[in-house]
Amino acid sequence: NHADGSARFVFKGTAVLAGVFGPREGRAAIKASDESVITVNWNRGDGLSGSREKEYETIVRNILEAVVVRSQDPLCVIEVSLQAVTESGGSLSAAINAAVVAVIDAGVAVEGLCAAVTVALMHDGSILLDPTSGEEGSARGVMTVTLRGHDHALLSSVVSGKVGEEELLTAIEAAGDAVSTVLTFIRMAVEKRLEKEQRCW
Amino acid sequence: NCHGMAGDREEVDEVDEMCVEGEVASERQDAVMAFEKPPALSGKAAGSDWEEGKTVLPGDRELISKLTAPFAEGGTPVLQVGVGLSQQDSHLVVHRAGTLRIIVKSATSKAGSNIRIWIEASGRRYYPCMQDIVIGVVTGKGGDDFRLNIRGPSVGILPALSFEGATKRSRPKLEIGSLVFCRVLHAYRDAEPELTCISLTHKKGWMTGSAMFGELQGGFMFEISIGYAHSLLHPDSHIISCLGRQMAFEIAVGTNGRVWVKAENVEKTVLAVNAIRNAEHLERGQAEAMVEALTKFSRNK
Repeated sequence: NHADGSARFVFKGTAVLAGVFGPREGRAAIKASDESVITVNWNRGDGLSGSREKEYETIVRNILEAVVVRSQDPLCVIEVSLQAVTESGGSLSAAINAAVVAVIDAGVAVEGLCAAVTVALMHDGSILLDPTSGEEGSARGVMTVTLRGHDHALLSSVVSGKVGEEELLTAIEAAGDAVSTVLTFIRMAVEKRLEKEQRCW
Repeated sequence: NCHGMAGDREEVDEVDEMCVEGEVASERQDAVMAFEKPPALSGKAAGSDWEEGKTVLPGDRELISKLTAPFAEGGTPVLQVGVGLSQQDSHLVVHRAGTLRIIVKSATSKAGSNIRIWIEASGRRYYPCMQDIVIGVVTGKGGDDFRLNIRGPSVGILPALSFEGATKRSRPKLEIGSLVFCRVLHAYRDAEPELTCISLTHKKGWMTGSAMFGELQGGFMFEISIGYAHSLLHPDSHIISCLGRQMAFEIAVGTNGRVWVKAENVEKTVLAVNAIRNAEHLERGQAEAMVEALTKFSRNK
């Protein structure tokens, strides 16, 4: 209730909560004179913060910087806080999706929707969409692919493990349909929320 | 010297403001009328599904030519693009999730149709806009101005003499934490908004109790979402009429999502605050039942 925008993205066993504070006045050290600054904070349940969390923070921040219209709020800071409530595979994708919806919920100007899916490349060459953590562990390579909504342009791809160039391109194509599904789901959720507001006021 | 110059500027501003206020008043009337009866867009262009009341999400786009095509008779239609939308080449692109609002003024002999299109969205962060009436909380005092928190991206500046009939010797002394009911004079994206407690129409001095703007004393202030605040400002607000049937109270609603309520005693004030807070999430029938239940509970104690 304190955040200006919030969203929870749940998929199978993974749930990530995102809260957005801002745009609000930034500290002198942080603020930029012509655009807003986005900071991302990933909270682990136990309060510690390692290199994995730092890496995820940077990835989410880069994606948000690509979709948020930063010239709309100069001298402001948009603080995104992520918390992985439960993790069982695909937490980075869930976090990206939660962060984007939370930013939209906060009313920040956004160029367009985007969504992330996790793609696992197994040893036998098959491609698995949205793998569980067990499947991620036994995969040859795991990719988190973020695509832009209206034209499926590639915004970000994070690869771990061993993935060939052709396989990467195939995986990005396979992610296209899954991204459309996620975006339809996001649209339904937002429409439902707006419809409820209209009924009450 | 400073005061002389400031005085001149105030005069010029005032003339501009009166024109603007007149325009804004008629716009508000239009907006209120549109609110009650959304205009039917007759003859939607084939393929354009952007109509009044549609839920849109960021990234949704439509060709400008498709939007203006139904109104092309009588001259080139003018499309005025408001909050939440921007033009990219030949498309209008949505930047905020919300409800699409369209108001059309039909073509006259002199000009083509005028189409106004914007996104109505609720939220918790307030973006200051000229002529908005807001409730601010004093967070700091400078030499000759007050700094107010108005729930926006930056603090608002209220000059110490911007009160009706205030002079250097007699002006209100506001403490940190005071509530001020004021008007946004200037709102810029890159600078702090300037506020004022001078009204263009009500000329009662700040020292009398009946000035239009100024400090709100007593009562209780709480925060709600921006969209709900707009609906409370509507003359036929359901919850306010419901509550008004049960008790007498004084209420001030700021466009920045703040509400101040003052009733006879603490108990009635708390009742009113709870009723208004709860009604944000209840449908109309439920809201009435809730108000009755609260009043009955307080009477039976």
